[in-house]
Amino acid sequence: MPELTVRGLTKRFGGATTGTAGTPVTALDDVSFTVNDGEFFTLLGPSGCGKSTTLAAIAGLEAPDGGRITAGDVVFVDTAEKRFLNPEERNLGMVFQSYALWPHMTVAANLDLPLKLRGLSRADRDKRIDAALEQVGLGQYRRRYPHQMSGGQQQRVALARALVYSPTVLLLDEPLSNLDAKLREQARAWLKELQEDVGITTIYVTHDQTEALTLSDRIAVMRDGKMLQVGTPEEIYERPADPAVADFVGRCNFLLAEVAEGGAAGAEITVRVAATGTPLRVTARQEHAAGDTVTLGIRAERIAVRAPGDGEPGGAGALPARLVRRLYSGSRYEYELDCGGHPMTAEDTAVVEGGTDGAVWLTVPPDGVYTFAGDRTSEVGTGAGAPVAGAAA
Amino acid sequence: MADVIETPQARDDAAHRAPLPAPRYRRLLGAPRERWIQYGVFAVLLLLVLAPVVPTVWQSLVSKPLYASGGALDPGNYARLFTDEGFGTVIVNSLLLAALTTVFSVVLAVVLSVLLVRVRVPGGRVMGGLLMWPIYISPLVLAFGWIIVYGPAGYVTSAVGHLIGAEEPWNLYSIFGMALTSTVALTPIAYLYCSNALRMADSSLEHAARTCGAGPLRVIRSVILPMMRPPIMYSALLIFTASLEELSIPLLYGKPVEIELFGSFLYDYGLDEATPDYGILGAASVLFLAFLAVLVTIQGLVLRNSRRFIAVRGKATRVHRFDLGRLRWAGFAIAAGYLILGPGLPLLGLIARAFTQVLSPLVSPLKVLSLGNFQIIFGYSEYTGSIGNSLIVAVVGGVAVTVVAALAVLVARRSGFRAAKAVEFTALAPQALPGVIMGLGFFWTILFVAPLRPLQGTLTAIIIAFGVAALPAAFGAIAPMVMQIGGELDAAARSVGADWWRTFSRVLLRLITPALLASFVLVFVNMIKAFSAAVFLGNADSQVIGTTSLTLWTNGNTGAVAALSCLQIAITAVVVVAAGRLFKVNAHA
Amino acid sequence: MSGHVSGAGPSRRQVLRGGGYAAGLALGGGLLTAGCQPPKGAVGEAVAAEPRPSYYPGDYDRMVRASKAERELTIYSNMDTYNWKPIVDGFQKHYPWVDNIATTNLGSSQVFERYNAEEAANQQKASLLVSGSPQNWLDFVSGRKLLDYASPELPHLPSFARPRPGLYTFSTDCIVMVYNKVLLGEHERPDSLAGLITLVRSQPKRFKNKITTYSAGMSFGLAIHDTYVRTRQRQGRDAWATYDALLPFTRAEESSGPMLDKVASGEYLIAYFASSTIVFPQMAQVGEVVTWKFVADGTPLFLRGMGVPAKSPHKNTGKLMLDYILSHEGQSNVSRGGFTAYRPDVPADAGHPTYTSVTKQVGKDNVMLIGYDFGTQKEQDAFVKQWEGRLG
Repeated sequence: MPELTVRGLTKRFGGATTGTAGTPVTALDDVSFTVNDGEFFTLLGPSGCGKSTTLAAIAGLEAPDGGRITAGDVVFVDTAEKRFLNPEERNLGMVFQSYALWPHMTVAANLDLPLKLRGLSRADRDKRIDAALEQVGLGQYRRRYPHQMSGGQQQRVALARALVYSPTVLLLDEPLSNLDAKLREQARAWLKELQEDVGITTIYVTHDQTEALTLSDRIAVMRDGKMLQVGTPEEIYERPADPAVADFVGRCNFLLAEVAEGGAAGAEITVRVAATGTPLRVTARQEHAAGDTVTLGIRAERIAVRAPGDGEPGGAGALPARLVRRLYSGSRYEYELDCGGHPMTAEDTAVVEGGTDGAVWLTVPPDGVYTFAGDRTSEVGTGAGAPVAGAAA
Repeated sequence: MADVIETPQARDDAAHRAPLPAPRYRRLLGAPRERWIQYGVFAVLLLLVLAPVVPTVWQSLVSKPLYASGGALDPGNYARLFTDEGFGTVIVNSLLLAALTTVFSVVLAVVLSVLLVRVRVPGGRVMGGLLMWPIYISPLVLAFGWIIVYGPAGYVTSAVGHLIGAEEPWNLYSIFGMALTSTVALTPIAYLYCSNALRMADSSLEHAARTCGAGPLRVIRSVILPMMRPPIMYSALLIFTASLEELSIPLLYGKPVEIELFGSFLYDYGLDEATPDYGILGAASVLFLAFLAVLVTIQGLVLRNSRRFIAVRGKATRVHRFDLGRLRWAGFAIAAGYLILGPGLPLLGLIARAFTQVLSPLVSPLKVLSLGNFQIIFGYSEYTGSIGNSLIVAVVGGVAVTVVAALAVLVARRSGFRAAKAVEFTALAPQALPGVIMGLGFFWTILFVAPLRPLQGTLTAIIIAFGVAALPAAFGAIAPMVMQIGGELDAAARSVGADWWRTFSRVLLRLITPALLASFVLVFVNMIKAFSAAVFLGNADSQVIGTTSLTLWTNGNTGAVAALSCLQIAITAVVVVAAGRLFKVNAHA
Repeated sequence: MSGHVSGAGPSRRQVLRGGGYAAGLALGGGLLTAGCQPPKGAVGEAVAAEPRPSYYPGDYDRMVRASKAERELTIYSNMDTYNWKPIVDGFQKHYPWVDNIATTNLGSSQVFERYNAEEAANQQKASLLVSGSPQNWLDFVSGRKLLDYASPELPHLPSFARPRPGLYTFSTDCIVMVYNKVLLGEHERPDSLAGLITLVRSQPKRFKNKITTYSAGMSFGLAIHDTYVRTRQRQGRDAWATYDALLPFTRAEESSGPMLDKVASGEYLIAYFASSTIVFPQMAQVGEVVTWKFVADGTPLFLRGMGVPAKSPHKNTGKLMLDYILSHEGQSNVSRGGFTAYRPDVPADAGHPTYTSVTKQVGKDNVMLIGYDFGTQKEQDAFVKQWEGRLG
């Protein structure tokens, strides 16, 4: 199976191109990435970031305004050469968010259509349908109609339909978002297993970071039609290239600070946090000189909340804050904090009561802080990022 | 089985996973076939709509009839039209009739739909069904029935006259009388849209209002009526245009009292004059077209959103019916009263006329009971032939128009076709083409485009003219259904390897079958009662029920007209009921 | 009903062919109820052609032979199928090979408009035109569109049989008065316009909007009213006085069909100048409530014209039909179709007056032939305006 390459993909909506009123909106802005053979590749981002448009462009359901997409030596689209391959000519498998099973056809008939279109004999078609249904564990449901099945089963039929003709690339558009929480976890595990089993190059679109982190070989994080970072789940989570990535993946607090004591990348440096005026020691992710403004990203789960009575924490290892509210979330506590007028979130298993006025200390290990040069706070949502558990919208 | 041996099994497995190539589709001149189909549909629609319009516009600009040689370009037709002292009155009268009809129909439809759909009125369901019946009857026949009952010597007129001691309690032959009759003919359209909107309305809004302490009447006034604004707007414009181009009612009521309306004005200039002034006819038609085009454009703008197609048949969710207590009998009285007085009595009169030699309050109908009218119809192959022709026209037309409309909807709403909007506009444009202009326009086109000449006087020509007129209705019946089908069903088919056409033929077609059936019935009903275009296009071998009725009427065979109408209504009823059965079967499949 | 139609096949045809003549009076309506077989049924059984009158030219056979190649005939007329039936049936008895005769029913002007449009496109269909629209005939003749055919029947017909070269008279349809006999007593049914004026003036309220006539706004009506006025003026009498008296009470109709229907329903009490071609065949139906009379002081006779267009596709068959219609047998069938025959040797009866019988009854001075002497377009427009101005 070939690798899939996307280069300079651009798409604008509105304006003169489609005839609708209003100024054009750039949905995709010069998006490029390569998906390796057999890889599970995820496009992750909030709604409206362009991930589904990217997928639609790969599938051929949207014609991009610029860019080139190839699978191996097959050119799907190349706007410079004015080439465009219709969706049916791309030989892709696609699973839709709503499953898009044809309601008037049985499960078998749903799987049969792509095979018929490819001119297979009755016997071959039957063999393939059986094999595909066995693969998704629905062997006995051949004659059912979609509306007679549960959501989870429908989703598996959709997957079987996308796989039955062994397409070159599998495209999944938020396939799990219509399942309830418990089922979604099971489906996730099952999907990963199936993908590894089939070994098909897969592009997965989701806004759920947990799905992305658990399933993917690599993740591309998108925002506002731009590609922010492409990397393995660890890279994305541990070494976000961009405050926005840190903001979207996991929960992250952002604070402005001024470098007091500079240093090279990897060295521990001291910064003065603007909101509190207190120093903090952090590991620099790039070279910072004294006097530079930096944006600190602090993961909620890397913060330890300490009551003031627990002894004064080490000089530059902690921030003073005020406890606003403590919420119980089962496995741990979520703390809403005020850090020099700046709202922050922390997660801790310990129960901590604030002192007078709810005063607490927040201790952060130096390597628990990301440093980004300059003031980048405008690029992230105010306050903490999205909750980790991915309570999908 | 051989499967117990391991190796073939494994080989089999591998075979099942072997990649299959994408299906190949042939291209024509480098473009996929969908492109050809889409351009083809657009071209056909354009031709069909332009065929009657182009000669009309041309005729309006030349001084002599199109067929006469030596006609020079001459805008004088328009000048003459505007200096014609009668034309101003024609415009005023037509607008007045259209306005009155629209107000009456819409008010009636709103009241009746609220009563019959949302209020617990005794017999509401049955009355709702009966209300739709005038849609199956041509206005000519309805007007005929109204004259029998409410005309100067009508049954009800005489009875009421005796009762209150007045010679003429009212005057049917007036703009007001015409408006009342066309109201009965057109109310079903408004009722169709209003009642469907009510059925599909989200009842949680009403529940919310009720929990706030609003009584049923208050809910109806403050929540339900405002929700009906889109269907009211849409049907009001439909009715306005339809009553502007109405021909038969002005012809029947207006002539004796010299009230000229647009339809009859065109008819006079086109058919009745010793030397028809085709220039003025063309100019008047162009003006009319322009005016209707403006109206249709406004309609399009007002209903720009998907509201435009308020589903003719939507999801039938259970609607909550208000209990008004004793007031419900008032509701019953309103609905039943309308049904009896509006379409009921005139229809009864029509049936009575069909079975009598002469129908007059002066003689007992029992004395003149006769099957003679039906014998006239069945005694002449020309008359039975016209029934057969009408059936052929309606069936073939119903199928053909439904196919064209379905393709138009697909191209307009389910394709990446560049001119999708233009396709939709073209398909809906015939709304602004009155039957008289359609007939005359096609007649000229057929005469002057040599390859079309064999069509002259054939049923094919009539089917085309009637069909173009019915196209917007078919489009309107199919579009909402197609819009209800999620776009990802198409996308899924495309992704598994179906091209645009196969996506339609393998997936969508079956899903929109109920809409196609609904469209067929609608077109059938429209075409079996249509006639104005056939006046120009038909010849001895291609008479349809409508034109035969007109001939019989002018020759004094009113009984035969009534008999023919009864037969037409019976045929329509059979088709509608049969289609209803099919629907039910379909819904369960 | 269907049994009535198909069950009695051959014998019914017999009735129509033979005994039908004897049915006499009731024929107008009898035709409607009894004549149920399509004319084509007669073709197979060859009925011996009657010997042609001796005065036909010797080379007439050439035309007859030529018609065998044509085999079809399209007629544009302003008449209905049942009017044509006796004529078409009779014609096919003589020329059974003409098995495809279409009688397209159009408006009286539409006959010409349709032909003109088709001729312009070189798509002529019609080989015989029959219509009662004098102005259109004059235009047609002056446009040299008519075949100047000399019928061998001409010497046996009155002078008005051929008003213009090629233009023949089909029938002289009498224009009559129609009454609602339930609402009007015997003495309330005047047989003259003068009597009508007296009656209306005696009870103006009762007759307001209750009398009807043809509208002068359409060609047929214009021809009637214009001829009445011209004839009276020629005789030195003030014809407008009649209209001054009647029109304020009158509602005008476009056709005799609605006129008759509304007289029957009581909407109108009297129709003056209604066409006998519609009234006579309908009497069987409306006889319970309606009756008719000649207008003693002015019976217009409408010359329904016919002719073979010069460019007609089946000229020979067209000429044969024209000759047949003018013949003794043809005129008898014209009469049976509901029209007024004018050939002197065709006998009249009570239900089927002829030109001769009408003239005898109302007197030569009171018969007004509606011919082709018209004023200019301007004069006509002025006439219509005057006429319509007098309407109530």
